[in-house]
Amino acid sequence: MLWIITKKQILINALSYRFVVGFVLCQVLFVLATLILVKDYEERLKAYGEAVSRQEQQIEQAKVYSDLVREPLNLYKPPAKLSPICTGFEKTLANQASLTYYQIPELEVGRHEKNALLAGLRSIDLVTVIQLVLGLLVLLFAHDTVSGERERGTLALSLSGPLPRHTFLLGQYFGGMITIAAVFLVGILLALFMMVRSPSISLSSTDWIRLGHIVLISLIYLSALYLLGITASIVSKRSTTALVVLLFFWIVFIVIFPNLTSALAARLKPVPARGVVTERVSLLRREFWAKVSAETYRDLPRPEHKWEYIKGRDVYSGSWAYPIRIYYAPREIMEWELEGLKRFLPIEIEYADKIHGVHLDYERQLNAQARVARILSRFSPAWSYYNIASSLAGTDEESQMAFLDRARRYRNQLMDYVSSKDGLSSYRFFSRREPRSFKSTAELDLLKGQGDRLEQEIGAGWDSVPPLDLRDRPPFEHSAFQVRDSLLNSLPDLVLLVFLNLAFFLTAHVCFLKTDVRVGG
Amino acid sequence: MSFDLLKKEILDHLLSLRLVLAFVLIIVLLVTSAILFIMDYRAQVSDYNAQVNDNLSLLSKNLTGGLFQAFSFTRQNIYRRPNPLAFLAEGKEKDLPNAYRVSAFRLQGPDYSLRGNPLMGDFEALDWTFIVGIVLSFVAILLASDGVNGEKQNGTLRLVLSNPVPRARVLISKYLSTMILLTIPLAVGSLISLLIISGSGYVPLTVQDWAKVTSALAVSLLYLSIFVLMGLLLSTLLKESQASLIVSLLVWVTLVIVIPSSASLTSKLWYELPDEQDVWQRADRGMADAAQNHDRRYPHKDNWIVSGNWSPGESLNKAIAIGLARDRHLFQYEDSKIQQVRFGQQLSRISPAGLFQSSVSSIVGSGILHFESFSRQARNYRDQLRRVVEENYPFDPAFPHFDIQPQVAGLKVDYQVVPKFEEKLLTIREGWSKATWDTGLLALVNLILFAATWALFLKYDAR
Repeated sequence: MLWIITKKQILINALSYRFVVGFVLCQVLFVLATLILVKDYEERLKAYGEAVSRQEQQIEQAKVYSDLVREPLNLYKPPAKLSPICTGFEKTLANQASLTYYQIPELEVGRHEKNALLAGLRSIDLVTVIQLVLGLLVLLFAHDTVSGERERGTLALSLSGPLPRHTFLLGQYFGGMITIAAVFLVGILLALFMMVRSPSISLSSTDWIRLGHIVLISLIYLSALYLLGITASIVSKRSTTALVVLLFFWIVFIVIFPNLTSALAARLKPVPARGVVTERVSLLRREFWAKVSAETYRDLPRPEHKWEYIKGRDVYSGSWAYPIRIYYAPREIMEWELEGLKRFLPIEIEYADKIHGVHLDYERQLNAQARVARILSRFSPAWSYYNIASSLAGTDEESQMAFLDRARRYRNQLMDYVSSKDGLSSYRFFSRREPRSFKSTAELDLLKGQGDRLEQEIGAGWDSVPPLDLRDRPPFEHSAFQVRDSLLNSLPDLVLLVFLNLAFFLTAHVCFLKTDVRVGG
Repeated sequence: MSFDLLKKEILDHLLSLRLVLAFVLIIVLLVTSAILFIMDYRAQVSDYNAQVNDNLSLLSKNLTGGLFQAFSFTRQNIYRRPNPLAFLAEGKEKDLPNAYRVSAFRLQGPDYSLRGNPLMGDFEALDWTFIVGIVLSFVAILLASDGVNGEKQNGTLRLVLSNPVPRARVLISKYLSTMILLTIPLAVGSLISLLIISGSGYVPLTVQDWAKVTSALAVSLLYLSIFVLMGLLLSTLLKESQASLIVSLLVWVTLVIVIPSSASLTSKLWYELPDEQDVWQRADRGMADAAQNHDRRYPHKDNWIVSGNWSPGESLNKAIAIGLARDRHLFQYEDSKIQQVRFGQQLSRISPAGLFQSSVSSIVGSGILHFESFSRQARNYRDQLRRVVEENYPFDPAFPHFDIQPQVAGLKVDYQVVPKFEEKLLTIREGWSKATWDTGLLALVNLILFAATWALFLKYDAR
């Protein structure tokens, strides 16, 4: 009996105008959106590949350890494979982290895309299409499931037989959901087909599991809306009333509300303007320079030297003991530079931590604010749904922040690696010469008279020095969350969606038991 | 008779649930948006004032250090002004950069010093463009989508047309009644929200601002009229009122939600930016060329020096030429970024929602337009500072002065002489000239839809 009702509902839906229009529209939207999104993903992947290989090249050419930790080392997060399905925070949060020994990766604004000004435009992904367009379509399907039958008089007919009311309700539900699932699944299959066809997207088995979960969650979301629609359809006398109420629900909770959440969160948990960070950081920088010049500039006068004995010298400032690279210099200069380095570097690292503290403090405030926004967003089932989908796609804020955390830990690893090579507190930071071979100015003066002995001693310059062997450096790998963790991260949202389903179903059931099924009743 | 028809149409709707809901919703939204805006604007203004004052005190401190300290070794921070009309069209300004660092030789940035939170997702402000562009247009299409076939189903259309009334008049009264019903909540809501905003005392609105508000309202009506006509057209085209309602909703969701949302992706795909590495290389080359040119024109034994800043002893002209050559490339790059965003907006103009959005943000001067004008003013300000340096430099600017370094280094500039940066918002005239096309297109779409509806309605079988 259940199947007959289900079949009836499927047929009614499939033959209706809204199904045809909705089906065609959804497929067109899915195809067009996927087309753009896949292209965009390919571009991002290409940019990622180029950036990573540029970085590799830079590392491979490192000749002293300062090249490794003083030049900004950029770490990149590969674009999430499922980001065409759900873009999430992929575009608003950085996919790049820069680190040096004096700089810890920070949460930055406007560095995420080639053109940060694009933040001024709106953006779309497949989950948004499902959330908004399919969400609307579901309500259009649901609004007359009961009230429409009552108006046509078929409700009384159906229930005049020995058909239990709950079977009828379940039949209506399954019938409707199957039609909607058909629209949705065809769309998502088309999208997946286009994604798989792209040579740059190769989905692993975990990706398919994630995708399966996203499809399931989408169905749960659509089902919640459908049940809400049935409830409205049972409660209201006329199907137009149900439709109007549902449409207003849609526009308020699915379209308007999310835009309110960030405004409300900004009120409930205000965060000072970003300028505060800049100001505190520049204060710290000033403090740092004062300290540095007291320690390395005044106490460490440069020894007497001759410029002709110095080659390939790359320094922070001409008169300070702060070497970046020195190819050749007399012993006095080398010792002076090392002494400066030994004083300078620890202070700089210390201040890097202090500056990071300021950023971290601000980041915590932003995080607290975002958490409020996220809690508020749960008032809208559409955003619970989006939160889960982005978590599964690996594009939620937590995945992005995990990348930042990973980059910060990598900085520590890299520093440990360099200091295990004695690269932070010895000549190795800036030079490749053995201290034993250093010669004093006086010794060089002696060599000067003896034909080309001096040139031989000094050598050809940086170009003749082979790069460092850095193959044993710690690798940087960004690993996405496990599927289980992704689900756990969005557990409240998941529970909420399931709960909404149950609640709406029970409400619909109770209301339907008491409803008057006669025409005009 | 015509008035009777209009009255009938209005009364028909007046009793309907959708109108009541729409009325309440729109007024609540407009009031909420006004209150949120005032709180937001206050915070923005206090941040802005604090930042500007900090910069001025830093400037006066740096000026005591002399010409080099103030114009070459240190940068001023200059800020974009908060827009007092952001309640009309915020234009996602919170996510756009709002500051530059500037010296007489370089403009660096743009930087962010606002309250935007990147962890909060990509939402829009609840401004009038959102409320009218999405919510009211939704109501418009809801009200109009069964205007013709609904009455046919009720049988009243035949009755009306059996009277000696021209069909045109019936159609026009349907159109006008819906427009009136839309105007009432818009007018009441915007009046209340304007009263709240101007009554709060925190947002000083000038005559120009009022003109902008009125223009934005006029464009809003033009925009809403498109959806009313679209609804009427679909309700004449399709037999069943349910069908026309559903089709028009789906058309609406595509035009108003989907198309504007794909702007950022499509512009990225079809408007290619130059490679950033290339830009920097070109800027460096430009600098080197400028330095060489200068040395060729003014040969001097000490002309070899090019420091990052203009230092005592170096030739002024050379430092300026280098700065200009470098910034020219960087400005071009920034312009192409702005163009990419503008291009995205242009693409979304295939939807009336895109036309409406860009028209209102042109009138208000917000969003990327605001940033663009800020960026231009920042560049001009760099030139102004350069002129101050040129005017206050008593030595020959073409040659280095290592021999008289102490005198050069000791040069002082008066605080009064230095122009202070203050961003000017776009005027209504500029806004209108930018909005002409969009508004014209909105009007054109109106005309076409009206003509189509008319043509269909004249032949409509009312039985």
